[in-house]
Amino acid sequence: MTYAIVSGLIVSGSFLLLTLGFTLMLRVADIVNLLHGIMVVAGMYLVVVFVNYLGLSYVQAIAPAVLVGLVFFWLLYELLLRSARREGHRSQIIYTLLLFSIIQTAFEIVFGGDPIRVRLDRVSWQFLDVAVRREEAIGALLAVATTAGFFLMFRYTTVGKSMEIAGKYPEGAAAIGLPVERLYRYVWLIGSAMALLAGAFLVAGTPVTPFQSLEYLVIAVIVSISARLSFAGAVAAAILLGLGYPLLVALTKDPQLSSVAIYGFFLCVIVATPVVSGFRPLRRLLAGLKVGRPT
Amino acid sequence: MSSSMRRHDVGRGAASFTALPVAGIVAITAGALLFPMVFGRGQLPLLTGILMVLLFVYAWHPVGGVLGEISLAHVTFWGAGAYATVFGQLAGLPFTVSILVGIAVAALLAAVLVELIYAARLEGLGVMIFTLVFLFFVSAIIRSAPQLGGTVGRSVTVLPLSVTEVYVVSVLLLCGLLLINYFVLNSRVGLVWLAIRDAAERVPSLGWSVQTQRRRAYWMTAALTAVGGSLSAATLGFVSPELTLGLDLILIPLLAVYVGGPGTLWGPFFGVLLLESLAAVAVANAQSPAAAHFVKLGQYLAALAVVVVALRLQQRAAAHRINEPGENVRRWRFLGNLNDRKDIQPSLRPNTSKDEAGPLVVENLHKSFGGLSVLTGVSFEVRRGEILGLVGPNGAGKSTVCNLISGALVADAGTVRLGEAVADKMHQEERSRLGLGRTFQTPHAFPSLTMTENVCIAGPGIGSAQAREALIALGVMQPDMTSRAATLFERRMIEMARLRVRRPHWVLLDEPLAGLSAQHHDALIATIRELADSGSSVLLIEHLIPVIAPICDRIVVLDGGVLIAEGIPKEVLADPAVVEAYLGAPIATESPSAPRR
Repeated sequence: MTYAIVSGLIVSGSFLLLTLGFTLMLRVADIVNLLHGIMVVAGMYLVVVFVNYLGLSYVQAIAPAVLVGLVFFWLLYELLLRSARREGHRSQIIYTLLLFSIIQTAFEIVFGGDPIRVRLDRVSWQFLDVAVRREEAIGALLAVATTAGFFLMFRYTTVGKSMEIAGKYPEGAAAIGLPVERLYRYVWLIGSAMALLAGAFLVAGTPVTPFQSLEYLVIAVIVSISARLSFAGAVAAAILLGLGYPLLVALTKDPQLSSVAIYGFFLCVIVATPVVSGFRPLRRLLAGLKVGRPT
Repeated sequence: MSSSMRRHDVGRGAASFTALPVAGIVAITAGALLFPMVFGRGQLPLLTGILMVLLFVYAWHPVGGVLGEISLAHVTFWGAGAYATVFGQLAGLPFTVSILVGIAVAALLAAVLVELIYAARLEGLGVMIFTLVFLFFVSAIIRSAPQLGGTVGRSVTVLPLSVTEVYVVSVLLLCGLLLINYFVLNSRVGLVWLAIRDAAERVPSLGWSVQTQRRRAYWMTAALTAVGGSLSAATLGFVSPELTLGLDLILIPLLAVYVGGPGTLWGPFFGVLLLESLAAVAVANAQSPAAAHFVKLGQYLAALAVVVVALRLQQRAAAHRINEPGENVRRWRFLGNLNDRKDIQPSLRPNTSKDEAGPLVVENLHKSFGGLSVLTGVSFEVRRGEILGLVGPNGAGKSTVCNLISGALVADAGTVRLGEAVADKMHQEERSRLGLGRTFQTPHAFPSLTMTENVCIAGPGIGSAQAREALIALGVMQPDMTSRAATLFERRMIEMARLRVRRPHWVLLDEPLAGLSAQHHDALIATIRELADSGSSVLLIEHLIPVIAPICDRIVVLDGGVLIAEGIPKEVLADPAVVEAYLGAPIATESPSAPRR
């Protein structure tokens, strides 16, 4: 059980990054980025390349891996996705899905379909009497720190506040002189960096294959929509998913039944949220408490 | 509304056009059936593989391409057919019975799914993600059930059909699916589905329930997809969650529909040819897996190029249209004519009898948004054949009144009566069907439809000739052009033409003159007068008081959500309270004739 909790917490750190990045893009820049899973896998492969083939240590490889990935995905945005962004969700879905298929096929050609592990030192840390690989622990800590930095940026910096305004009311933001297009570009870069980082951290504990892209994409979209694009909700749902699944498996000893419970739970959350929030007594109570009232 | 759900007969004048797609479908079917006789049966497994993709594509297209809901749950419907076939075969059931069981299970799943989508109030991307979770949930249930084969799945040793039989049945089913898609695209219901794809929130105001249309689309496509799944299992003799319920199954169909052209008959066909056929041939004949991967990569890149070019052309066409209002963009998708219903011409609901419907009555309406009170105790009545002007400064609550009457918003308190009927608990589409028509402050046209088709979907029985005539009478000289890049004037006239052909009992006009030049005002005002003369009760919301005052029988004035004056235009406009509301001037004296704040 303790092992399940510890491994769940470690995975949750990466899930936080990947779901917050997806939510950020959708909420602020209105981009449906189905490339998000590919970004995670790209982060994993880049770390593998820097460590296994170029001889860097795992910690040294994280920054260059994220940078290289960032340049690639920034070019994709400028060349292809920026024009699709204005055409609505369906165009974005088709664009990003095609790019997803292209990049996944390219990964298959370059790396093959077999799982690849990153070469790591055999050093472990003890946490709650469970031995945790040092790189996994560092990754989880960095993920939590990045998440905290993300929230601080949104709460306290001008760029963060401007992004929020540009997401809620683009015309108004442009009218008061905010560089809306540039802010969307920043959003894309921040979201991509978070996905690449998530991949860089995940690869310490998980071998990488091209086919994982879909799995990570599914995690990102399910969490994001269940949380109705709320950052706090996305954090809660990501932790619930990261921690809940290994715990359920440890309790039931049945991975399939655990999957049924997890997906059933998220189905219920998606259906129940508008029903509960539309419940009049609850709305009156929230209004009485001045929750959600515009300021 | 039910009569309109039947396919509309294609007019005699359009028969020569409609022969072409049907001939194309027949030619493809005949060619596919003759193929093994001419070239031998060696390539049948390869062709059957491509046919399976086409079956999925055309079974999914009415929902994914026409209705515009990217449902990933159709994989579960496919799986229902496949599992029913394999388990039916294991139980010794005839193949046809297995298919029927698969259809029943798929329809049940579809019924649950659409009601959950409605309960969760999802649309667009939300529907896509929800259907994804639904698929994973169903897949997880099957994986956890050993009786259904668990993660491993089940296989049969004896296939219900031979390879040739599966091929022939698949070709015939594809023919059927193409015909169904063709009829959907050429029916009024198809136009409504395209309108839902463009702007679902505007469709209820035309009297169509989005949820009802969704139910029809999902049930129909669930059944068709299940039949495809049955044939697929009959070919493979094997089902497993990985193979039968994998998300991969829908990615190629989705891309094929959207690369080829959603909402078109042949677009998905070419999408499949582009995305799947070469890869299938390469995989079947490649000496190494890498070669097949390179072919696949090339196909995706070609598809991306097609999508990029299409998007750029679309953006350029829209920009061109904005720069040159006299031009228009010809649509590539062909839709046949919709026939006029002779029994209800010249208008859907002739309103000549003044006893037929009572007045529009608003009593004590209240509405707040959060802590902001927008309307407080607003009451008025629009009599039969009357034009009532509703005026007031910005933020007075005029559009909110309009939205409360039409049902787009729900009032906190108060009552709306449409004739004898209390409309408070009616949905927008119910109010519309009762005889309420409206226009919007920002006029909207559904870009997937021509301007004529935009008018045709205003109600059952409105034919293209009638719609075209109404548009031309309002000054739209190219009514058969796409409305993708329609000008503000054309969009406004599309909304007015809908009212002109419908002749609703009660009409709400939300700032119909906004953004139009003075030369267009006359045509529009004449149409408004004509509506009132035919017996409609018209509520006219407008800023331009001097322009509308001459045609209004009475005027009510709102300020800060409160009705401050009511009466004939001359008196109301002279009321000091009204002058103050508009100009902010101090009140010297109070008018005894008008209600006070």
